[in-house]
Amino acid sequence: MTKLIRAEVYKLTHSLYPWGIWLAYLAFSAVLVRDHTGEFTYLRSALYPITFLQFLIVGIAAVCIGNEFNNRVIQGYVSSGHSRAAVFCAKSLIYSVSALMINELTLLFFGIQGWMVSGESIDAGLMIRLAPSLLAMNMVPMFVAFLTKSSGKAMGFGFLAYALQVASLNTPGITERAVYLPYGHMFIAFRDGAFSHYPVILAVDIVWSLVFLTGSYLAFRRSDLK
Amino acid sequence: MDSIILEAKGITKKYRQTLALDNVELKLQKGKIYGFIGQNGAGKTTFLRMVTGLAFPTGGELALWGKTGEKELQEQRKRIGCIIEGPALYPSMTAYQNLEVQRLQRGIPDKGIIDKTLKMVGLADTARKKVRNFSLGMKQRLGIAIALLNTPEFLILDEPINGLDPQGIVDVRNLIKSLNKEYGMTIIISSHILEELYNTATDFILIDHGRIIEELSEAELNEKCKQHIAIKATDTNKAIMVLEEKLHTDKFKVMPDNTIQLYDFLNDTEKVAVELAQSGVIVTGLTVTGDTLEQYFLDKIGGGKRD
Repeated sequence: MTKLIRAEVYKLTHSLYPWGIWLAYLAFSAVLVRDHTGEFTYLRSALYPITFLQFLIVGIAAVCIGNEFNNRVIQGYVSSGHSRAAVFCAKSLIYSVSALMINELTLLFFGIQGWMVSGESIDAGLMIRLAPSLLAMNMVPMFVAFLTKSSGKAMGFGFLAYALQVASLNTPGITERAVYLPYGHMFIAFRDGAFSHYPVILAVDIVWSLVFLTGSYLAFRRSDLK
Repeated sequence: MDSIILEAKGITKKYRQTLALDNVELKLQKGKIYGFIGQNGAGKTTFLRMVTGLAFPTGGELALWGKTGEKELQEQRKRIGCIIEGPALYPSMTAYQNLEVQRLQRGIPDKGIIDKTLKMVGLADTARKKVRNFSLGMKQRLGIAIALLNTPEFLILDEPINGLDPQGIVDVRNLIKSLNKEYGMTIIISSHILEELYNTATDFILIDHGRIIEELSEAELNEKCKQHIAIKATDTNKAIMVLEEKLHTDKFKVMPDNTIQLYDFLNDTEKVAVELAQSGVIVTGLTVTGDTLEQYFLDKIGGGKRD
């Protein structure tokens, strides 16, 4: 698996798309964060666009995983003798770290902006506590990409899954149900600036991540690759 | 046992109602170049995908270097190089960077292998060019370079000459032959260009409707195709004497029109011509003739018509 990770890191460092997506993410966030009223800190305000900008993470999954099936790269790894478990671990690790970095770097960017503009303290604790929820949110596009094994379908179905989750945040009773959805955790953090039931939230994130991680692996483990 | 690279025991693959492979029994021996022949949908790629671990059989067992079982098979696949349904390429990277990714993922310590392999496939001058700007033929060459990067013991090439120009086809043929000769590499090639396969392979596997219909060596094929050298000479008796005494062969027939049909030296017609000429036989015609591999294959599957 180390060899695969080295190859994946080489690709990542010789590719422009993660930076392009992060810049797009940052630009969209900057527009959405203008809703910031002074009532919240910059960092808290940035939590609001994160939920809506998840469609860019769908794009990352489509490029980082779906497109790798299209370009026959994953097939190449398998036929080179790497076990499917190793290929899955390497791909999911690189995707998860890339997506999480995009999320967290955006939060950090706005944290620094708040510190520079209004002298707000950078709440590193909140950023760390958000990480499991962000990881859990990012699992859905990954699952779709491993299930569909194509960039186009990963994008299409990924957007659908994204739209359903966003829609679920706009239904009555979301305040009570938010704790059971990683998307809802962003809503709670935005609303309260802290997590009042963090052990429950963490448990939900872990279960959510495990379910989608296992689903992704099962979709890949014994499937025929074109 | 060591001489058997691959053994398929009753391999079957079923996709819902379609039987893609039907009880395939096959043994590939070390050091040979196999031509894998079949129409579209005959099961060639499906079989090769199973060998490379991209698909799983619904029945039967596969052995690579005598090893069976999912884990063992996957370990043995490190000894294989392949192109199946097109090479794995990153369009936004250069040819060199593409090979660097492959070098890293295969854990090959020697960086110099990249330049050596690019040179081998004739891409040394375009190493720094982005793959998205490559022609189809250049992509195929790069795919072959990727397959060769680990100097595999077993090379699997699915339609390797697709998109290549005539010079490219000759280059690939020579490359395949030299790899086989120099490294003793076992190679299986599937192609629709049967004439090219005939010029490259030492053995042939014919597949139709998911079943292996025949396996035969080049000599057996030539015999079955009745491939022969047709010799016309002014003095037939003297020509026969040269064949028997100088070339030590009795594999010939004299036809009623005095044409000699020689079933030997099919790959060395020059030697026949030289011996006859040196013995003072005036040769008025010397051609290799008979059924082509294409005709033979079409006859075997019933005129090339599919249901």
